[in-house]
Amino acid sequence: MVALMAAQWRASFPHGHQKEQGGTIVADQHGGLSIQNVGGARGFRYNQGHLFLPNLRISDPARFRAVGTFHTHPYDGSGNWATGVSFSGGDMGSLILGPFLLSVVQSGPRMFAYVKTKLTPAYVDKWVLHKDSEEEVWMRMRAGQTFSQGSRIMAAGHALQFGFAYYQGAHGVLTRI
Amino acid sequence: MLLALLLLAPATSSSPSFNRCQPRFEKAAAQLRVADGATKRGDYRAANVALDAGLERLGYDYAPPEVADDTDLHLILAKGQQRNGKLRLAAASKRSILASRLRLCSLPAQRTPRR
Repeated sequence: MVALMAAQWRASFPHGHQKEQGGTIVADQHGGLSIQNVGGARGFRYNQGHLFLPNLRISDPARFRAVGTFHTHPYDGSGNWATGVSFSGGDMGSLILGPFLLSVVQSGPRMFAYVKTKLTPAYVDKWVLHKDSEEEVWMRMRAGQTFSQGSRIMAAGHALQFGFAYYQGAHGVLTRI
Repeated sequence: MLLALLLLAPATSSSPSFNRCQPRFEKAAAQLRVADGATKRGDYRAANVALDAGLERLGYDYAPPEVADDTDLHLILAKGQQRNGKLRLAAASKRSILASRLRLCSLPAQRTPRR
């Protein structure tokens, strides 16, 4: 999985332009994780520069069930080639409101994971979530932090707020924050 | 006679198009058009104003939950570009974001997997 995620990161800059990559994380009956549907859903044209649409149709559903999603956070020259960018407000809303337990993001060598817990609410007001997360990152940038730093601090704070278990790391080794 | 009347009747869509963003969609799309007009005139300040209004009008409930939507982070970068005086770049970024969000309005949710 780690190698596949790294390969997806390397594929996130076709012709030098950002393009989010990813897949659907599945678990087998023993809890072993793997990724299916690399590249996401097809048949709907959308801008992958800032979005990723996972494909939820799982192969061999008798053996596997979808438990989460993985996607990359690439930023090309228009975003100063930022790396280490953690979860967005949209990612958080997707995890809270969607069917999955787990979300993994790779941004450069850094990886981030959110896991829902019993403390995670079943609903969130998207307006409040997006405004809140945007304003916090913006405020931190105004205070002199980088975009990446601001995103990581915001994600850590929102993990506490929404009862996510939050993991950070690199090269496949993640530590709970 | 009946056939002639049917042929002259105005065309109607066979089924309504899916759009979860009604009634916000039209107002937001109108702002996108205003922004495009301003951009064409080279008035990037006005383009940014229109795009901000379009994003505000559309709100945040435009996509099915499974979408990994990172447009809010990209919007922050666009804000930074605007603050640094890069109005044309900021307008281009915001236009891309608003267009993406409007597009997602017509994306039906995928059937969720069994738990």
